[in-house]
Amino acid sequence: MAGPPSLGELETAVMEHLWQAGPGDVKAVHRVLGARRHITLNTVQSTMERLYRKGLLDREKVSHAYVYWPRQSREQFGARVVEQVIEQVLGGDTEPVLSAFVDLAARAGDDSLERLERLVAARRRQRERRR
Amino acid sequence: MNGALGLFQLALLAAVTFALGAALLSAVFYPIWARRTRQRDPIRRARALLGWAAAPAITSFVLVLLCLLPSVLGAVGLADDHCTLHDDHHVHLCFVHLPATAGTLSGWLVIAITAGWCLLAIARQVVALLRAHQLARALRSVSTRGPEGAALVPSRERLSLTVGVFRPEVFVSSSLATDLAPDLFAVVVAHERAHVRRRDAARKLAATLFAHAHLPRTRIRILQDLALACEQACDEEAARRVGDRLQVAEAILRVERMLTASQGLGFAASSFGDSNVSERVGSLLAEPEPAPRARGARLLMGLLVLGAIALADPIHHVTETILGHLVK
Repeated sequence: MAGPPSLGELETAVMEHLWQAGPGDVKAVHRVLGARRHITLNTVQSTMERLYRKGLLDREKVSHAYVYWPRQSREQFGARVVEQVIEQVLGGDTEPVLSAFVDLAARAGDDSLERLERLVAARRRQRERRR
Repeated sequence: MNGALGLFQLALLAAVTFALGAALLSAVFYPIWARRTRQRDPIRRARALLGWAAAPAITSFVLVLLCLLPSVLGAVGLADDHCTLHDDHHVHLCFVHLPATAGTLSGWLVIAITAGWCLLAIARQVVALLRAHQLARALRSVSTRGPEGAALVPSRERLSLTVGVFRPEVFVSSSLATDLAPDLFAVVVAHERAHVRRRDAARKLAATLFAHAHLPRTRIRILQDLALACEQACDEEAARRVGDRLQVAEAILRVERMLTASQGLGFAASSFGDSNVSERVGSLLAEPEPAPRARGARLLMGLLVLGAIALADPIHHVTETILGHLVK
């Protein structure tokens, strides 16, 4: 089962920048991220090419340079990641290293839920009366 | 060299035999213990379940050490040489009187199969660890800081997860943060933070690894019961944090209701009616147990250790007899 798209720290930073600032070429991205992180133009270029090959960025040649932009919005990408996380969880691939607040793979029946909700509501009313 | 290998084989065969015996005993006694303790304090239960999961491995290790103890004491002059009690054809689990050969072929075959089984179990958990690392990395790449310090993931699915073993992280979906009332959302985050503080992923990983020594049905039961006990323990911690057990019960039911109504996860669930919601809410509605006294448990543990050391000689002789029949 293929896992969710896995991004390194610099890849994440490049995606974040493009989601916020909009389309940009390698130089523009390097001006913002490179100085902060003391990384070279080549490193930013390789990262953006890698993201393009992973299908996360699209690009168009403008003059002599490629301009890149994200293929999906932040929300769409996030939803895709979550979808694949859920697939893995339901596939049982991640027991025991993952816990969910409520079991993702099994649902309580409607009758059981209603019975429990009534019990909790009754206990709540009992407590309010005592106060 | 042959003698050392021979002794090594005997010790490993003894370990495998003890583990199998402990697994068979667990298959009989675990269901009885589980039934009697189901309503007990989940924090203590989770600790005990880790012990049950590791029982064959720990029993095997301790008994092998006890078997070798008379030989060690004899070698350093603290006890008489016990081997003079046997004839030369008797199997010796002894550092002084090493076996004449490097062991039997069938013995090494049994050890190879057991080692293969152990390596497969370890490999599966390593794969699970790597997957969790990948999941956490992917979720981290799309998350932002949300209320209560949780990492918010943009998603319509109502999710709340703790991922990772060595540096567990909490991720909550944005839809859960907006759709849940603030007091119930606080419960969800408190519950997940409890998993981090208790290191539940490490606990369950260790249990999963050790539990491979159990029979399959016992193994599945122990791990399911441990998962439930960990969830209940985190519910208790969340209840202490927010100061209201009912509020935690309400949060569990509200999220379960949301997932059941959801077009996504609700239909993606692989089983209905198997959820642990009923046990968790039931546990929160019951009165909490008073904290146990540690002195009684420590005294019992001390007596067990002394008793085991006192029985080292008989354990050693019985084991030599059993091995004698196995390696013939």
